[in-house]
Amino acid sequence: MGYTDEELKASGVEPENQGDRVTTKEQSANELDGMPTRALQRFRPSTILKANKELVKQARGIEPELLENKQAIKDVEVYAEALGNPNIIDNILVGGIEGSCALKHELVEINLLRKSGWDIYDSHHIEQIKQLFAQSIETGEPQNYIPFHLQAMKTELEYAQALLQKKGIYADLGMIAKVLYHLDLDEELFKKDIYTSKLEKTQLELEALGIHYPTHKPIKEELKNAL
Amino acid sequence: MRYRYRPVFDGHELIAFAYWTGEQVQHYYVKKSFFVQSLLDSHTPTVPYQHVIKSLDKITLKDYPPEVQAGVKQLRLGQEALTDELPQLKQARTNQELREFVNWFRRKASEDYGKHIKLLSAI
Repeated sequence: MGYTDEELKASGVEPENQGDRVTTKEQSANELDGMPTRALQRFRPSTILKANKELVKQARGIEPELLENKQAIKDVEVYAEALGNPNIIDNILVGGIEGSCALKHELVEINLLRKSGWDIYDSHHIEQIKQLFAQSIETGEPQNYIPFHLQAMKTELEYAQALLQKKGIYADLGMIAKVLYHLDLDEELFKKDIYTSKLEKTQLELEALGIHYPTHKPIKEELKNAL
Repeated sequence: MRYRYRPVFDGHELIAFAYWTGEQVQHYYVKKSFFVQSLLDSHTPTVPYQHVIKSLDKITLKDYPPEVQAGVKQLRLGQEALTDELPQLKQARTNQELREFVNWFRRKASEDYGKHIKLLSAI
């Protein structure tokens, strides 16, 4: 997805060969004013690709196979911004298996949305997608509203499981979800009689996927460290 | 253990239950769409303390998180009541027990306040 060369020319933007062209100092903010969002996004350097260089140095690099399609990475950044949820990027920038899985989730979700005819660059579509999430939370029936998110979640968990197995660690998907989504923190709050909606929502999503959530089952240290 | 609780309305719409645990006021939000933004992303831990208020009697709109304040038009508290039925969350050790906690509020919303809300079949 993206603007055609003709569309870019019409908006005053020269078509590019690569999707991650960096805005130079010479290109003033004024120069970019009035440019359509989709074209403007293409001028921004990729936060994920830039941060990954540092993550690699820390031995927590994102899985290289996930970074091959630079436009797809850009799309993830656009999607996170459009949803108004910078946490999506923050989770990816954790790096390692956890960050890789967060990225995998978004790549799959965007792909599934597209296959269903949604355009993440269309603000009206984004509003509708947000409404689907809202209805899912309101009704507690994610399977009826956000199948794209559920499928992405399942793929993410299975991806984590496969990466862990490469390290010789086996864990079931429910336990991986607990660690990956930091639900142990919510469980700690429950022990203090403090309720959080996050655990209720995530368990409903896991249930819709047929994944059993291991309530209060302790997390093995090696699993936590590996993720 | 007996809990004190109050329904919280936006005009006539039931949006939450505020309940007193003996230490702090907690909330079960019936209108969960208040938190769509924070719940959109399962990775990020929520900050429940934002939702904690010290007194059940003196709740005002400014006690609520920004997303609730922005979504509420006219905050109105219903009558306080007592219950022995609400399961203690800290004693919940199974998915079934967690489900019972959630379903208590969902049942209360449906039966006492006419809010059509589906019980969780399983968590």
